[in-house]
Amino acid sequence: MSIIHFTGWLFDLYPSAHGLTVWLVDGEGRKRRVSVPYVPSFYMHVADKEARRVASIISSFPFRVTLNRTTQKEIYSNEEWNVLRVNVYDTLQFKKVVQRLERHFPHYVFFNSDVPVQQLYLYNTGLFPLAFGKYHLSEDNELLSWELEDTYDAMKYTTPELSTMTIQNRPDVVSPKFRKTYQIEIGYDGTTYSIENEEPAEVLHALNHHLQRCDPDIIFTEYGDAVLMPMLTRLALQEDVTLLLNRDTSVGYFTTNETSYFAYGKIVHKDGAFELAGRWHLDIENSFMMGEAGLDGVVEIARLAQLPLQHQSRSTIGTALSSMQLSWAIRNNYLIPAKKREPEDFKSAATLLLADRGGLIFQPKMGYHEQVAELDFVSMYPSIMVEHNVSPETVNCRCCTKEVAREIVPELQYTICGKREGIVPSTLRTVVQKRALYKKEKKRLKKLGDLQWVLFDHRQNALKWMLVTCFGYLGYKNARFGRIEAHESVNAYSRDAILQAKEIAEEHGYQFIHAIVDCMWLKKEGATEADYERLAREVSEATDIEISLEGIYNWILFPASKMDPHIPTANRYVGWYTNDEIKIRGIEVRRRDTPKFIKRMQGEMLQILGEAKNVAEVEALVPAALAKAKEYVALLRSGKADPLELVVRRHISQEADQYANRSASAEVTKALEEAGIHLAAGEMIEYIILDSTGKKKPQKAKPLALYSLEDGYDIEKYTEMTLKAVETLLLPFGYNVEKLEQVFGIIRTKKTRKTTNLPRKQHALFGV
Amino acid sequence: MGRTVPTFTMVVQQEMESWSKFRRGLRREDQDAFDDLFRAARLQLASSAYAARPIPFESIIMSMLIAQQRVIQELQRRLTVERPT
Repeated sequence: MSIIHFTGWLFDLYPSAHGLTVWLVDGEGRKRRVSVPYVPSFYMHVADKEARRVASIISSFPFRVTLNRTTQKEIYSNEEWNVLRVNVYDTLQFKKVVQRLERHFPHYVFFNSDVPVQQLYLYNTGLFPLAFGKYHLSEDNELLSWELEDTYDAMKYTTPELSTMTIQNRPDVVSPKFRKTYQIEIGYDGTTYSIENEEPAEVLHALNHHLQRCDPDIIFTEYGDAVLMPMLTRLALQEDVTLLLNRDTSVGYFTTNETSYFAYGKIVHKDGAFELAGRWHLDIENSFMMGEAGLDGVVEIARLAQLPLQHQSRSTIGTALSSMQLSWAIRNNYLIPAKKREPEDFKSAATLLLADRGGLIFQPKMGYHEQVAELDFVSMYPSIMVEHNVSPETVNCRCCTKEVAREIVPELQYTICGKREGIVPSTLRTVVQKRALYKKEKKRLKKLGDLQWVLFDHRQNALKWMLVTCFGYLGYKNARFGRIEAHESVNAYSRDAILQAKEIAEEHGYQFIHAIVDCMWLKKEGATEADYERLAREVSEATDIEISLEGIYNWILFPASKMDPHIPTANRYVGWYTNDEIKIRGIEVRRRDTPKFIKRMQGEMLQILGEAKNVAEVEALVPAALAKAKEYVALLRSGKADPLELVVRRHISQEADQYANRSASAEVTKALEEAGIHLAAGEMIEYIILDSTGKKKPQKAKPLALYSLEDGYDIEKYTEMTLKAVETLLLPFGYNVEKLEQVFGIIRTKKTRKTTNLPRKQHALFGV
Repeated sequence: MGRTVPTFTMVVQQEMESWSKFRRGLRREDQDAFDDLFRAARLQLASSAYAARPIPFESIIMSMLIAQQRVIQELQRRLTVERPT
């Protein structure tokens, strides 16, 4: 028997009757489908008596399942456990075996049992998506062995040339989710083909023709998961046409249901997945990572986390983090508990009071400031976890007493294990180091004028999101390796670090203007960039966390709270750096729910104010900024503003029939429902306000999809919103909405709203 | 992750609401002073949260006192600048 050698990349893999199907692709774009025999297994921690019961249950399965005893380590105790290993000889039945046994043993813990089979395979073998190397195949296309010239955490790696095709519903103002037609556009090799036909079968045949001609590796869609793919497959079934979407036509599509869930105080909606076999279907509207870091970012995370690429593109960052941890656990022979079972320790009320707090926020000093510098801790939370070895199994570990512990957490007095490095720091270290190197490489290439810098920017940005979210997963109830005490410890270290930074800065005569958890704004008459750099070095050394000078501002504005104009609010500011870059957080122009019209106005006002080098110059430019605002208000009030620029976006919190009130969101959702478009909670609606009072017109607002020009818009409401955005910038100079109405000569017939009181000049408590 | 302990902003809000009858009984000008005092409490979120005292009203009063002390200091400074002894 001769052996075939194939040099290339691992492209795709999924379970099939004989084990797994793997697709390889080489440098010439040749694809090869190969089969891999694979027997996935999971573990049960049971005594011999139960093991006999397991044996009798599995004997009833119509496919082969075997048992053997083995030892694995339990992560929290670090002890060797004698466990029963269940080997399933049919990858497609793995889940079913787990479910059956779970029903019979409801009170027992299962290990490694809820990890998808293809992921188990990758962890067990060390393979990963787009792994480059020599693959050795038998004559009948079975993968026998391989030698990789690549590692999952490699800094430099190559990727194959992949052919792409885009399939879209015809572009329109209205997004495809809100339409009911099925004309499609297919694009590849630089050409776009429009397919319009009354007969659905004709559309499908045309699509098949193009699929055959292009044979794409990647199909990009917008709303492909929710609308396009389900529509095409439904039509194919109805018209009895075999679609060639899958490269492997012997298997079906991999789909999941759409979900709505509650996260960070709001309802989020996620479309179900529609994945292909032998090709990648990437829905750019249903992929967080595609939006943040493009295909480069998706590839980076898929490799690092050993997650099949289509799955990675649709999953949250938490999935990638936890996948890295699972792989680490399997590499180090640790058991992966199927459902989290590590309960929260009992604590005294006093400890709870100290422990259950986040990072520190120092309220800003309101108004315009000049000569302010911003210093940011670099990846504060992950750095803390790595530097201080914070991990679920290392905080209050079972092996170290207070005397021998590596360190004691400030405020909380928890101990940290000195004997082993935790699973969280071990996996994060790679991410932190990789990102630092990518950032360096990006800077170097950018300086050289090499366009490759964009690639490294995408990769570092993808990793940034892993670092941003890693902290949340330490205390998240669905995270496999999360524990609230670890989460609390990181917060305690962070509070300690920002307070140390404050103390050092104040020691050197800097004024502490504002601080949010890991960044701070400082001011000192005559301080230079070199002074701030020196301060940053001193803080880095004292805290063991790198802090960097983000920049020095010509001026920065901390606006008043929208609820109470006398007090400031955290994390909302706008300022121009001395290098002519602007930084904006939380004010209208940055907010996603602000109509474009208002964003444009505020943006132009900020451009005007950007000429100023200090606060006195800002004040001198106020008349020019006001004149710009006046133009916008006049256009708005003439009724001639472009309604498309007045579109308001909101995420709905309920479904159409659940709304009890008559809010604009409720009306819009109901109107869409009546038009045959059903939306789930968490989805976004777009609408134009017609009459916010609900007294003059039958509808308060109309969805964009049903809007026509004759509908007009609510001039008073949009004027109010616009003036509010002006007020945000100019309140420190005495311009509240009421004053602006006087200046712009706006006469309202009825007083319909509360006015914002001007902050008293000589405020008893804060003005002094 | 469920929050067992409310944030300090929420604590100040709750405390203020528990004083609503007291506030209602005040004259208008005193109500303004009352509101100012509670604003002062909102300005010291970081120190109050960090201290995490079992009786948060102590932190609230301390924040109010600090704000008043700052005013006294400033007024004293002005007196010495404008009418040096």
